[in-house]
Amino acid sequence: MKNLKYLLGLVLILCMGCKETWDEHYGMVGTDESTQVVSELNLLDYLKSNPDYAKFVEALEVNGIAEELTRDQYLSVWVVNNEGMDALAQMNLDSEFVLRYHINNLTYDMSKLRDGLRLRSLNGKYIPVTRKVENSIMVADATITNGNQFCQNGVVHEISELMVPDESIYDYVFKLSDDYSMIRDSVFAANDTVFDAKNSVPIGVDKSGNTIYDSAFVIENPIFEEVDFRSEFSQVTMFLPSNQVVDNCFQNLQGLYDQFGKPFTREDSLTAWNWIMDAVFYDDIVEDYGSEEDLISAFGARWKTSVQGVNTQYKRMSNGRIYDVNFLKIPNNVHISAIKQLFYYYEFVPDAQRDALFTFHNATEIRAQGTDNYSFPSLNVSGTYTILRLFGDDIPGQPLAVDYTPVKLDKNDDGTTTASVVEVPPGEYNLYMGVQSKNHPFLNVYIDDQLVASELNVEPSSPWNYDRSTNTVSGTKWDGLGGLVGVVNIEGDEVRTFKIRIEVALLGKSSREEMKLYHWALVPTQNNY
Amino acid sequence: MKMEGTMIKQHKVALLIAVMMVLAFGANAQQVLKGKVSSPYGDAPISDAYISIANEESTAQTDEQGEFSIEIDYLEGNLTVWAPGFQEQVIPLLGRDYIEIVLIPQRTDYYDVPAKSDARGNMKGEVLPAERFKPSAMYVEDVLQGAFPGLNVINKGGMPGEGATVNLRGIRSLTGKNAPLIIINGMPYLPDMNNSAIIQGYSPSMFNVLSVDDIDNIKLVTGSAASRYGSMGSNGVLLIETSSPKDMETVIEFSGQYGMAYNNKRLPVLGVDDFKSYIGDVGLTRYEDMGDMLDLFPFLRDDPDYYYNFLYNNQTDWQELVDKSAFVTSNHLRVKGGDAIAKYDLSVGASNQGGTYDNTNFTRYTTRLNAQIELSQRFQLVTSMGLTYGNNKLHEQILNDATNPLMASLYKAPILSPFKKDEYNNQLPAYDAVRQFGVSNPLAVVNDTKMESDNFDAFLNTGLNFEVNDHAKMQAVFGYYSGYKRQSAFIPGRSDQTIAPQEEGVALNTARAGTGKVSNLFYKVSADIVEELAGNPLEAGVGYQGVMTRHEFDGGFGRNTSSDFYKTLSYVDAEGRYFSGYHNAWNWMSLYGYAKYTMGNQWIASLNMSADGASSTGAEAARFGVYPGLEMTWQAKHSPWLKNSQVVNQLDVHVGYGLTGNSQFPTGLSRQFYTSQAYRQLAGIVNGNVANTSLGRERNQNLDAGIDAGFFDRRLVASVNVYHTISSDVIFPQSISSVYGIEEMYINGARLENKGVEAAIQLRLVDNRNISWSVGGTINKNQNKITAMEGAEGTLIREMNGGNWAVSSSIGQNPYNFYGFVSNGVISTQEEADALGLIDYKGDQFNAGDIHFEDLNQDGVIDDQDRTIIGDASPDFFGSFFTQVRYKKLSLSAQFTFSAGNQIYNGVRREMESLSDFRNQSMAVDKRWQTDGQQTDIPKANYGDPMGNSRFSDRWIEDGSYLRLNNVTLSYQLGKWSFFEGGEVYLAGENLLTFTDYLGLDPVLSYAYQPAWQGVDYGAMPLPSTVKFGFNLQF
Repeated sequence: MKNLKYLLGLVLILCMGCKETWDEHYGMVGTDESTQVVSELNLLDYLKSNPDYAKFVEALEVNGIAEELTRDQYLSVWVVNNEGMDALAQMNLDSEFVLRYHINNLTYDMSKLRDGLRLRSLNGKYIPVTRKVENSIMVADATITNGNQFCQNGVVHEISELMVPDESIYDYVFKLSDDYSMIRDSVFAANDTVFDAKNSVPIGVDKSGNTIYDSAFVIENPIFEEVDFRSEFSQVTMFLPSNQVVDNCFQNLQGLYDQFGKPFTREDSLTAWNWIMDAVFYDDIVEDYGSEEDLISAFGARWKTSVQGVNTQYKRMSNGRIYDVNFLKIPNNVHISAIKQLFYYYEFVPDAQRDALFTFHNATEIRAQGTDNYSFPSLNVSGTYTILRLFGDDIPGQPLAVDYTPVKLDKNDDGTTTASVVEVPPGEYNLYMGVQSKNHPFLNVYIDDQLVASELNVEPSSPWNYDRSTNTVSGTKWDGLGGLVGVVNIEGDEVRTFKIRIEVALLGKSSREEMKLYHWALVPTQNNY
Repeated sequence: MKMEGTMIKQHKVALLIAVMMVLAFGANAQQVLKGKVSSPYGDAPISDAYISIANEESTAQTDEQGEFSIEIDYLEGNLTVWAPGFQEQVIPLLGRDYIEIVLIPQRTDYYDVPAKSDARGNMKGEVLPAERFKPSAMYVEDVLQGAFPGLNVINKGGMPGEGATVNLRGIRSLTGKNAPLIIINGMPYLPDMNNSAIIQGYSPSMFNVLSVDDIDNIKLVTGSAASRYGSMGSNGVLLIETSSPKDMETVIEFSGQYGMAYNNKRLPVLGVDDFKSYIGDVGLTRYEDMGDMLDLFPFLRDDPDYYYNFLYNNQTDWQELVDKSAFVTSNHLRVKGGDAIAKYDLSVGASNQGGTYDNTNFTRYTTRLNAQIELSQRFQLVTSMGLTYGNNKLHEQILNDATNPLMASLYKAPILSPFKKDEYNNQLPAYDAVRQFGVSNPLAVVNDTKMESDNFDAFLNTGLNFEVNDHAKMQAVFGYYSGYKRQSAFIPGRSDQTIAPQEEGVALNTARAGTGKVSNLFYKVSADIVEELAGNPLEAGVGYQGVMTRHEFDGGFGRNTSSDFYKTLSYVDAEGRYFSGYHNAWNWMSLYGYAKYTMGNQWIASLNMSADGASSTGAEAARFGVYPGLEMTWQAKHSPWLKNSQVVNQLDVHVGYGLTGNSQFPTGLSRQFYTSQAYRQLAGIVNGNVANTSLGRERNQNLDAGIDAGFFDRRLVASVNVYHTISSDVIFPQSISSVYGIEEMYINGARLENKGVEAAIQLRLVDNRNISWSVGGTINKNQNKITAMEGAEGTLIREMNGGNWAVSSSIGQNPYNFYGFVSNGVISTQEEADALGLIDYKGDQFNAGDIHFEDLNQDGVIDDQDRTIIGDASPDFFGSFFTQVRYKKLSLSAQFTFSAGNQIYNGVRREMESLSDFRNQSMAVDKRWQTDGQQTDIPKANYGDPMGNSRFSDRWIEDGSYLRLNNVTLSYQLGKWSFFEGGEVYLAGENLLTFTDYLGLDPVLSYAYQPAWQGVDYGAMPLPSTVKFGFNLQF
């Protein structure tokens, strides 16, 4: 019997021992209070239990938000003590909106508050987190003073001051004054309100069997595909040009066009405007404006910070940043597709100016001459190619050459046509030329006395014969660029003219001293901004 | 005082007898033997007891006073005494002419420590007769559990039909077989013990082929006698004799049992609130933007207007849904009888054991015919035939939610519904889909996956016995066992998306099928004699026997049938289809002999010997091995100073040395072979092994000594054994140069030692005619150690499951150790973390909230070099104890089993506390680290566990010690009534209570038969508690 007692005792001890291990591990018994980090209270009761937060709780209750803290969800609450709450009245904002900005879903304890994190608050606005130093956490403009107060359904962080919710870029742009009407209206012109089937809830079926939805609609805009500046989820940057800046930009552009002899058409202005629309949106945050020379916009446009001008004091938005643009230039390679003129326009230059513009070397005869006929019925154009034809004597060491200042045609008011000097923006271009290539001697080409190409064989009809090759009008041989001579650089800061020197390189099959020049063209390179 | 007096008297009598013996010596006259027979119950005399003497014709019966007198030629030989209701007793006369005999009543107790027996020609071993089987036992394992000291029987789990891992005296081989040799009716039975490739985590019980009701007795040979089986005997021999006809009387026996199995232990997992908190916590480490998270997990916001709230407003206890109580039954009918020429014993059995998940059960039909035919007076034909069909419906027991209902129910989010719902919150009949947590619906896992295994087994065993004369006997035996296994598995998921895709999302559904074949062919011829040598008996024999075995398994695997309606391999996609399998032929033959010589009834010397060869050894290794085993026993009770002692009933001291071997390793290890390897659609042939042609048998030297004793009319029975086994030439894989094209080569280079003590004791505290109470038990202490590993540099590490965890083998240690990191709690503050400055192999620092792993090599980096031994699955102690109380015909018995000092790798808990994804976790994660300075042992939640906080470390190694109430039985013996001859009815409870510190569901588990896989909890179904009603009736 004694044995049995011992046995029973042993069993009992074992029994209790085991139960303890299990319960302890799985937390079935209340653990030691000192190791308890989570309060048994829910968020609201917890806040109420601290008199420092009385005003905050009161404000929550007045605005009907308190109930959120007791619901079946986990929240992070950014609480401000009674002193700090006084600022609420002074804010020119809806207090419910502000208070909802101080609560967000999910438990963000301090270990989860990384630098750059953004927390979506109950009002839909994001709270930016800054943590440059390990122990100092900033949310919006406030600092956490007493964090990680765990409650049964979330966490409370006390912060130094009330946070002010930022506006989104969309809202900001939407509310812009008419000083910004061009960009504002252009952006919103593309808005489209569409039915969102995914977020709509099917609520029944009509008589013909179609599903009836409790419908949700969303605003869509093609810009959102790259830069969703309406979403609070995104982090984007916008460069905002005022109408004034855009006007200046366009005026500059128009002046430029006049200078190189191209009418500023509707298409040109559209090209320019489209570039602006492309260039002002960036799909992430532009930090330290100017530290990088080239910014590539969300739509692939290149924004040279050395050329364009913005105010580096950006506006912090809830979903990114806005920089005000104070100078805007449409890059050359955007608005200039090519500057092209014909050599025979020489003819229209008044005699008095000719000597200043053109110098001929070893030329015996200079004439503008119609040569081959062309006809492109699909374009409804036909006519005769006109070239500038030069002849020279066969003098060794003195090749036939011309120093040609590019000219363009001007239709004068009196119905006459004259020619004037072409001016182009400085920068890097590809120089193209065309000649009547048949039996043409080799050429040396210089721009502003810089050799561009030497001993150029222009005899092959492709690409050198007139402008019948390279970027012609599609499907025809009309209005192309001709042959690529080489890359030229028009130096300087201002729009200016230049000189093309063309000379016969006596290397051809014959010793013919003759040139049959048709056109020249400058095409801005990618580097020509 | 009275006792003392008796003893003095006895001494006087002994002296008298001795004097008389001296006088009588030489006098060839008839002697008169007198004596008294009494029962242990108050020395009451037994009348009508039968007394006979070997080789003498005269018999006698006791009178009313229990006294008898018999005339015999010599006062030598053995006296046999028997009375109805008592056990037969054989007593050597040792020259005495007066003998007092106390007969031990026939007992109905189920628990009795097994007694040693070495009946004529048989190996010496401990015998457990059928009468001592628990009546509620359904399987052989149930009987073996806790029955023999030294034999560790570890249930693989609760899945029906899986049985148990059986091991004798620890680990002795690193590559070869580690389980005892099973001999059924004299024929070695070598089943396929590999885990199924079709149904992962499943290996059928090796005893499934036998019904426990067909067994007559089980004998365990542990000592030097095992040398008779030479290189098959290193792990002991378990001999099973099936029931055979003994009498001509026709007997009909029926036994039936009916019960319920249930499982009421559940792992505490997070409830709805805690789960949401956890999801929020871990999600924040996964998603940059909380908007993405709230989209994916809308329930994290309490929005009453949210339309889909009905999907997430549930509180489902998945474990409770999956756990079902199940019906358990076993029925067995036997008819035996015959006449003087032919006797038969025919039985049929049917059993069905349901598992505690739906669609798990094991149904088995067995039939057996044992017959004995007297062809002539000297020729006897003994034959036995057995047929078994078993059908096993299963689930996989691995860490996979698609196939293991347990894992699915642990992982599955409590907020989800088991069934699809409409917006009005009504349940629809279809199972709910996987949803965003990526966990299969446990109900679909239980009901829609198909895992099935069928086995067909046939035994045939025929022997011809020829009695040459009274002293000599010859025997020829032929036996054949054939087992056929058919397994198929289908995991759906394509049609209704209730089960998560497998193979990293590639396999929308999976089909597997395979067949296995096992054959054992056995032959034996033998001759046995019993002779007198110098006046003492000598038993001896020689024989020749052999076994030829084939193990083959072929499986096909595929995925993505066009719909879940098509469940077979015929419909799988061509891509991802492959086959796999193995074929192992293993042959053995042996010339054996034995001799047993008894000197003066006191000294017994026995020799067992085998010279055998096996096909597994290499061409250059020795063909044959010689294995002698010698044992000396001193039967002290028969010594002059104890022979008349009434206190001591038995006192045998034995010491033995046996040499055995282990040739039971795969034949392929010593052969060059090629293996197929699939590359896309093509099968190629690659080198499978470089032959170690000198690979030989492992050698086991076993020193064994012990005492078997009985006192006070066997009211106290005890035995103690100590053993020391040295296993040398142990085969282990050694890393070799990659030039060979294989990673390792098997060599005979290791040495293992096992030391241990095993004891059994039984005490009859109260013993009256009407009431008795006994207690007893067995205990084993065992220690395994590697003492040498040739050519191995330090530690041999086996990466398991693709490096998920590891076991190591190293000198001076247990053969298999869990090998992992050592943890030292959770780093509480960032200052602490910075001070530690530990980084992982990627260079990332362990921060506050991460586990502080010990930097064992002090290089500041926590990597694989910081692993060490963190535990092993071998118990320090194991055993059982029992108690039984009888009042008249009613008895109550209980058996406890225990194990101490073994560790378990809790793979389930590792999953449930990994804090790394959106699957549900255990309640323990509520204590996870959240804030600087928090003291806890659970690290922070971090998606993907980048710092490896849940890596294989001592966090998951737990103490697997347990004490289990294995069986409680209340039974009543029925008397003879009408056509009833007798029987019993009982009420039994199995596995009702377990005391353990283990944090999993069940500390008793075994993933596979292989010792390297012991103590691994991969989500095994816990052994259910069972309550049964049953009866055994004789007509």
